[in-house]
Amino acid sequence: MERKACIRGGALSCSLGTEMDAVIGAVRDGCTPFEMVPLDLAGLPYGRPYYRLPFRDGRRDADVERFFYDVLFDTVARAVAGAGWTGRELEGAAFLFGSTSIDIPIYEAAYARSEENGIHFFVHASLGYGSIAHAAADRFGIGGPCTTFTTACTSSANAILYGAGLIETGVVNRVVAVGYDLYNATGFYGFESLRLMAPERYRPFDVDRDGIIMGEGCGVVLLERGDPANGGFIFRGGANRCDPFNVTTHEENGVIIAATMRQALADAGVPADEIDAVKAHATGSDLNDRTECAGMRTVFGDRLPPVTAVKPYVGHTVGASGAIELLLITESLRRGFLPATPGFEKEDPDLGVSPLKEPLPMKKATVMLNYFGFGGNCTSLIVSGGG
Amino acid sequence: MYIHGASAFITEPGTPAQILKEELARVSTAYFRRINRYILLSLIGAHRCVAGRTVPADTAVYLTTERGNLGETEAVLRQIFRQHSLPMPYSFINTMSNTASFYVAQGLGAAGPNLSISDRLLSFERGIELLTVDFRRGRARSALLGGVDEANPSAVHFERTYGIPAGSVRGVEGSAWLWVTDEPEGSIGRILGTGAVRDAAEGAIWLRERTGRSPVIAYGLSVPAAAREAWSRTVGAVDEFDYLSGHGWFDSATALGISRFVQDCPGRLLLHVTCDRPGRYTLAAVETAAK
Repeated sequence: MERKACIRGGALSCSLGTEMDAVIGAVRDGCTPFEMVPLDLAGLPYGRPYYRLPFRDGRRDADVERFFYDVLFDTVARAVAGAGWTGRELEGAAFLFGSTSIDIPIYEAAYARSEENGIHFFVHASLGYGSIAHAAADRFGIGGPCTTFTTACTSSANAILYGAGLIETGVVNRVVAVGYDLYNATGFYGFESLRLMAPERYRPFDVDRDGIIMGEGCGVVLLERGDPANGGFIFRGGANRCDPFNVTTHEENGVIIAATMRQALADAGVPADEIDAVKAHATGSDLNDRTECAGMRTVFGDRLPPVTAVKPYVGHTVGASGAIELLLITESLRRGFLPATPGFEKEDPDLGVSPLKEPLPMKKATVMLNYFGFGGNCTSLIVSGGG
Repeated sequence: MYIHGASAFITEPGTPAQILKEELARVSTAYFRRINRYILLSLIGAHRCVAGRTVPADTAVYLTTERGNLGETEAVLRQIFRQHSLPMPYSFINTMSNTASFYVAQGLGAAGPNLSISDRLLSFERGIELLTVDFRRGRARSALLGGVDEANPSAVHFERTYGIPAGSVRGVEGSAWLWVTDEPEGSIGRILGTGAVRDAAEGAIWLRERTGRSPVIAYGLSVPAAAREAWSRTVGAVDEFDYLSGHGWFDSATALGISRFVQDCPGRLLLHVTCDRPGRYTLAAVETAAK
């Protein structure tokens, strides 16, 4: 018997909020709620835009570790409650956690308070990469495989891809796939050191694009064996590959990016001309947008379906982007539209790809979702449903 | 899933980076710039495993780790919080653990799936699990699966994690790898799989479903001494493979145990037992070809 994985539910904590109807309403309205964050730790006299979680209740300042777990546990709890999963259903589920920073926000705060130097510091402040996932699994009584994916910007996309794989191969029947990255100085100052951050506006694929705007957030996608509920989505397939060209950029002709998309189409059994929309990774950096568009042109030729990019709503949430952006797309389609790409104004003739300037009415759709990160990591997912 | 190469590189904690670079130069002709200790360890193990052969271009890389890249991360924190400067760009990039799996892929020309994953005490077993998904889904036919960790510098952390005195086992740092393909011809072993069970009785059933052979048994450090006799008796173990006493321990030691067994014990079956939570054991089984 063929085993299929469907998306049973999900929940978000992002710059647009936590309540799904309100979040998708804000997407429909084109909200882009970033704020300026200073780079004062490095003694720099300027800041960079950043999409922060909209909690202004002082919890983060009082105790970063508690805030970190509060956000994670609250998002998982909302997803599980929304799907009606009980303790019995969770007991055999897998918990797959995707993150770029993992517990960096926690031990960074400890490091800032401490006067200690050297790696001995970590043995007190960090319990290892798997510790966050295990804390969440223990909290919710999840007893199956508990795997942390750390593949940069594709982390939670890979958690979803392999979560579906665990269902398809009969290892488990349910998966809680999480993408979570909270603000941390290592990432914020690190991206500034690479000169990759936009100074004012987010304009992916625009001829005047000038970089990334980062964001923080948590996305939880629940996968389950079987067919989706009415209006839900089925996971059709996907692929992950490595472009060994360079650790921070992909080969400019997008050959591995195109190969990843093609492999995902083959895995899903979906021809390119049956893709109704593409959710682009679209970081807004010059080279990444260039290579991604080259890959899309190779795969789709002159029959490119509508393309959109959702980072301008929530920022580049790095390892969390896989889960968060999948939910923004699927939940928008459930409500009858494909989101526009705010900030995109003028086509770059070198790219040859113009994302949507206005929301496009769309219900049932087969969508390709693309994620391309550092370490040459490339992931494409294909889902069908909506309406 | 047939094993075509195995390596287990271990070194004393604090081995100078220059010695690691010289070791890498012995096993690879590729030149790597701006790499750190963790990446060096990863590359040495992976290149030793392949041993000068050419892997298929769509080979997958699964790098498993408990703690990832400790030293470089502290350097970046020091630059930001102590020296009040931006981090060095390549220091920042190297804080991401998939940088190591990227360099392994680049050095070997492996453009297939590329994952850096972790699961407390079970990282290597999770690697087997995901490799199995990719093989069964037809997404990979050749893969490198490794466990890499720098030395754990803390006796406190060790005792808290394993519940035994820190001096019980010699700490090393290491990088142990398997090269696995779907081709039985010329293989030196076979992965039978991984799975979770509640106790030794379930473990015996799990093993019988995969093979009729009696195993050599090996234990992860977390398996209580009191439970080992029951496990050995119940699964009918013919011998114990005590790789930790023989070679030392690092956080990804399961990879070390399995790869050493593949190299040292031809014609036998290994059942590796690890315990990550009270009342739950995770098994991994491999059999080796007769010489």
